[in-house]
Amino acid sequence: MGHEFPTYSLQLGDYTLYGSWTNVITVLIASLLVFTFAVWGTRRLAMKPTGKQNFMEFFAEFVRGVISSAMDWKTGGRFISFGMTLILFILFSNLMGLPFNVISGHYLWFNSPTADPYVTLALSTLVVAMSHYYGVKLHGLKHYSAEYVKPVWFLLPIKLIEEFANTLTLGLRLYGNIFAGEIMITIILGLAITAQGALNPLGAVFAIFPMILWQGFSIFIGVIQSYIFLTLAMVYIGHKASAEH
Amino acid sequence: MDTMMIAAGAGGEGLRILDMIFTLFTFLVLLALLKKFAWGPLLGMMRQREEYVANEIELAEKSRKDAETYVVEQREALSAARTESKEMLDSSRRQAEAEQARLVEQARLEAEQIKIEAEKAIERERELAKQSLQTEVVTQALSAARHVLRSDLKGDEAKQRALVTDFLSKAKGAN
Repeated sequence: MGHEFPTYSLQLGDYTLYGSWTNVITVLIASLLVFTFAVWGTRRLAMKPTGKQNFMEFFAEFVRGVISSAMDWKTGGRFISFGMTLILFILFSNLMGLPFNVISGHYLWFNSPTADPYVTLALSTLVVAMSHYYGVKLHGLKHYSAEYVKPVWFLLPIKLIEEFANTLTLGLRLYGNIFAGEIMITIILGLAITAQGALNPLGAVFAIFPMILWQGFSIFIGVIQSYIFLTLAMVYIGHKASAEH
Repeated sequence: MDTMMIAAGAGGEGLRILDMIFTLFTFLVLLALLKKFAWGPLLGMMRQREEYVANEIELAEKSRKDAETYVVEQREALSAARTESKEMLDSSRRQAEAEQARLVEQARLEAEQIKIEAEKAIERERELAKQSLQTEVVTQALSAARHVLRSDLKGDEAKQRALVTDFLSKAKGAN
């Protein structure tokens, strides 16, 4: 590793904001893939579903199941589009760095967007922000605030820390899994390539088997992590938005 | 240029807030687009199917109920028709029997009438025959008497007897 993202900056008064081109490229590609897949899957809808429509409906039912296990459907129904988009976006993001990364000299141009903590923390921040928004919207500010001093008032600091911890753990869990996966791929790849960048035939033979294993495992991790992210997102939102609290 | 160099060099250290903003912005745009072009139609179709199935079940239940009422109605109508036909048959049988009895009675009366009339006619004929016989007898007697008176009867017994026999045979023949 040790590669850096090519960055750009935006001057806002005294502040300089930074961003990376890699992020722009990978997030756009991931979004494009998700959009293409989703729109392709929902073309020519019919009352009697066939083929891909069956699959997309199974997918919708799956997300509905995840939401239903976290909150009642009357509250959770509004989150189904969000949930479907979220899990697909994370899944595609997790998997798109597996076949290849693009590195040019010192810079990394293409990898999994979720191997970047800024992306995963942005998503987890969105989820936690949504949980607060719907907590206030559905139950009023009074009820929402009262939750912080339950069951006893001196838990308030812990409750406040919990909110930040939720954001951090939700984002960093995903980042850590995907980033570690890509590091492992780079290390295995290092077996097959000499320090000068040439192919090392003997190393390549040794690298093939662990590479196949690790790619398979990474696909598994990518799928599982997207499912975990969706489930936890719905649990956090449901915890605030559910009627019984 | 200077800032760009610093930015590029310090890319690893500086907080990349724009990455978060760009990610969120792109994600929200993707969410809006998919809601409009993919999930909306898909979920709409699923809801539509749900409603359709619920509707169909309701319809099936209703038509089953209808069929049940119809069967009950038909059964009632059938039994009513059966009763009615039985009544009609009974009444027509009674009517036929009455008619038969009436006809027999009428025939009997007519026969009686005819018999009476026939008897009357016979009586009348007999009366007429009697009268005509009487008239004939009287006429014959008168004519015989006249004949007797005209012929000479004195002393000739054989002649008298022949005359009477002749008369009698004539009278018999006339009778």
